[in-house]
Amino acid sequence: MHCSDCRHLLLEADPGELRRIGSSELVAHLRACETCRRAAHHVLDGEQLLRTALLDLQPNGSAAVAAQAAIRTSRRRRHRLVAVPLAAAAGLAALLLLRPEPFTPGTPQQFAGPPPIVEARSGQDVIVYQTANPDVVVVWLFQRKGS
Amino acid sequence: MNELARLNEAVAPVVVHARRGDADAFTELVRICRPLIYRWAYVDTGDPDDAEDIAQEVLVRVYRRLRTFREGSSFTAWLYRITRNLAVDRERTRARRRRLWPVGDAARAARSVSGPEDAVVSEDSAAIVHGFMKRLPRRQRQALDLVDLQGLAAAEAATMLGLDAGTIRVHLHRARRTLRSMILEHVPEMAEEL
Repeated sequence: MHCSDCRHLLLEADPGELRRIGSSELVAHLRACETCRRAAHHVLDGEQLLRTALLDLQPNGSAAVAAQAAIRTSRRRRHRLVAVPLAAAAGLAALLLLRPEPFTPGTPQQFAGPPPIVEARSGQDVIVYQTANPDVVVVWLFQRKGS
Repeated sequence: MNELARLNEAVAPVVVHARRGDADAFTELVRICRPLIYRWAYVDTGDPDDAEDIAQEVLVRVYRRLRTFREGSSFTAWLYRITRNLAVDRERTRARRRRLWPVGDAARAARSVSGPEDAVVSEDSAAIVHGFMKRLPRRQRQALDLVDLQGLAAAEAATMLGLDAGTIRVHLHRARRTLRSMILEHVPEMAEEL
């Protein structure tokens, strides 16, 4: 193997080959050629510098503080996951219960059959829903607080 | 035994306690794993601020999902997947913002951001780290870091990166060629011959 071939091979070789481990042509040449061996050493030294620099990387702050922050954030998000659907359900319930419209007789387009006649006491509100089933109508009779 | 295999052994008993909700065990787990998570995030993003944010978010996810971790499987591989997914999400968010607000990205780049190349002592070391972070694309950095620097087999690295072994080797060879050419550039008698 010529040195020029070796120099190209060592640019992609496994680190083990650069350390002359194994029995490849490259390893045999590195054992025999001092110049190429020095090139391999330079590559290995450079990679060791990189390895050390990356090993020395440290994030800011202490592990204890980071752990506590992670636990707090996790618990906050868990509460939000429960609270948001509960709030949405409560909002929907309030919307359904507190709709201000009193009962008005349905038009023929709103009810499949003749509109229901609902008798309510004075002061009592009524909401009537036509369901998807033309035979089923939901009637809510309710009294507002304070009325 | 490579670095990650040693770490897997070290954290195994701590993970058992942390999964049961032991806050001290979780803190110990963070102490052991946090530098590695930060390193992976930094190699992925090339930005120390992003790496900090991602590392902290990884800890939140680990705390929430530790019960889903299957004992007996590789903790570091599980940790790496979380880190990588968060880094990908962050990059997607950033790409969306770049499309909407291109000026913001230029302003961000203009701020001086220090990385490990600023912390190293020697010029050679700084040049090599700088080259690693700036001249290698993300996939090549990841492949080189996992295989050549952390000692994983190419097949293991492929699994962690969600790539096939052939693709990893291509990235690895390209990364080696770029990095080693750069290393030998600083050796005049070698550089002439390449």
